[in-house]
Amino acid sequence: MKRALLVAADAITPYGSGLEACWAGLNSGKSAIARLTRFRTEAFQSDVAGMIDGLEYLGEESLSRQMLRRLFDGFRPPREAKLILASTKGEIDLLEKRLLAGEPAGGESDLLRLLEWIRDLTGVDDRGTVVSAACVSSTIALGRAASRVRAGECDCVLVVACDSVTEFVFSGFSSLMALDRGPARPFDRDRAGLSVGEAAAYALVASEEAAGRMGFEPQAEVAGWGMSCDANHMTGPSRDGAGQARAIALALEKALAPPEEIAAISAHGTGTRYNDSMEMKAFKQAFGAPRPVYSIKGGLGHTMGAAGLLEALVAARAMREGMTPPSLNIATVDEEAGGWVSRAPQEFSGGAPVVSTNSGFGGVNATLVLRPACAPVPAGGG
Amino acid sequence: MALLRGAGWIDDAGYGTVREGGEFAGVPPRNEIFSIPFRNFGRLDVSSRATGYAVALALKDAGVEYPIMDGVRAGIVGTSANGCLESDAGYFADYLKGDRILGRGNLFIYTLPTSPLAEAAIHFGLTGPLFYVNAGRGRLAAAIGHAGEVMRDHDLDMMLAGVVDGNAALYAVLAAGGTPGGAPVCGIEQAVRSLREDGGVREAARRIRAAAATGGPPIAGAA
Repeated sequence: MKRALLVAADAITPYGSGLEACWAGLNSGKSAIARLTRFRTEAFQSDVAGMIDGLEYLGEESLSRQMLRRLFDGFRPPREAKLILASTKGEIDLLEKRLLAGEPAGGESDLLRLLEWIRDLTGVDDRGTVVSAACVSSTIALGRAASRVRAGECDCVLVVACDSVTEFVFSGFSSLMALDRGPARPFDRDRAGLSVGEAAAYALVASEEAAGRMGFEPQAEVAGWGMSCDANHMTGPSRDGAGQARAIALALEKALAPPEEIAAISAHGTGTRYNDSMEMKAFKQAFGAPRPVYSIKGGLGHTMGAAGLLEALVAARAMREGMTPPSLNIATVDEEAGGWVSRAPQEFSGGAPVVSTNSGFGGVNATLVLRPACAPVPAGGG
Repeated sequence: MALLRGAGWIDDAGYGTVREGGEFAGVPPRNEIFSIPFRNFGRLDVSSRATGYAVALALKDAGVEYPIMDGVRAGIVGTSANGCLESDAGYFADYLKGDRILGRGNLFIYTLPTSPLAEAAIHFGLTGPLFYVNAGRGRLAAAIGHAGEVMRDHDLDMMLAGVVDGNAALYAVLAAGGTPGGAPVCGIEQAVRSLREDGGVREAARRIRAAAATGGPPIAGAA
């Protein structure tokens, strides 16, 4: 069985350019969620979001393209890489611009256009595919990439994910009463909603042979992936967590990893009452005994289509360090999360696999299992 | 081995099925198409209604009852020409008309390409994988291909795969041998090959039927 290895990755987040900046920012204990000045917020539930400095809103180029230009500055993926773009709203700011100017909507915000632009930017030959599934878009994209590499259908896949803070998205979440007034407080006893955030990230997933041939050093293995749907409600997760527990179980099965082997969990942890409660129920069903759980959304906000990939990359880094980042903005850990979530970084055994999981509108759930690149192939997997 | 076991379609002039081959004018009678009342059907956006009809017709064509019974793991993969552009424009235009004070949540929830799939999942009981793909040209073929891959990857019993563009939709039932349902239409690979170029849903239905007619029995080992 081929292994699907994460061999190159980077991100641009509200903490700045680079995964290193993101990791350092999270561990500084300071949230990057700040006052929104991009558009007026008096009518909304909140006036804060996780935004990237220096982007021009409603300017010459979409926020996504500005992020992606910076992201790929200095990195040229292999031409042979298959391409997947994961996003929920892509260049929706282009649609906003047209409608604000009194013009009819055209195809400017079509994700296929962004995909084509990314192909040109990165120089890959593949026509590419858009994958979109609400806030599990890039979790699924990474899982699909790993599946194809492991099945031998291709040697490497470039997964690109992005979403941005726009009035379209912010007003929408506010209309659903989903926003916390201040920065989101995942797993806090008094949490009151999410914060919107923006980010762009890429990951190159390759077989061992391709990684060696291309001169890449594997960073982690994407060992398992699982998907499910609550089939319950358009915006609210199922109250019992069974759907997410099922996605976790499928990912563990794919990774040949028994639950007790998982050392830490990167939760979706949005800061809404329902999501965080649902997740704790799911984790207890899937794992039984407590282990470190954390969320990075208190630091960055909810980066929507980019969340899955970004959080998997941070989880891979946590796995290498044997330490989770802190879960920010918690005053008091919710009783349901007691013994699992901490305000402080949590140590765990190095060399053990971790889980990264996400959920989204429509009741979608998706989970990834990451294993250290040097870990032995489990029995039954060779 | 997964096979295409049925498909249903709807457009602005009528509706039909692939395996049974029926074609009807007008709007499908809701109480005949849906085995159980579709909650809030009248409040769904156009694409979600079309998807609901097409999935119901597909399941009927494949001889699959729903809500999907316990123990049958089934999901849905969908595609479209332009994501959910009409819903996006509708939401933001309405928001601007309201002086940018209050967006409407009931419009916002349809501004995801997966919203029609999620409505279908809720009604039909699809608790498996759910996602939207768009590969540009040959998008229905790509959706069917992805659904087939996911079925194999996760050893699922059934996947729905299809396309919606405005009020036109076609969905196909992919099911493993032995899953309750009707005789197969064709292999997944046959269906994918016949749909490499995009066309309307009626044309897609005709091509799948033609692929079944010219391709002989489902190809052994297909997909």
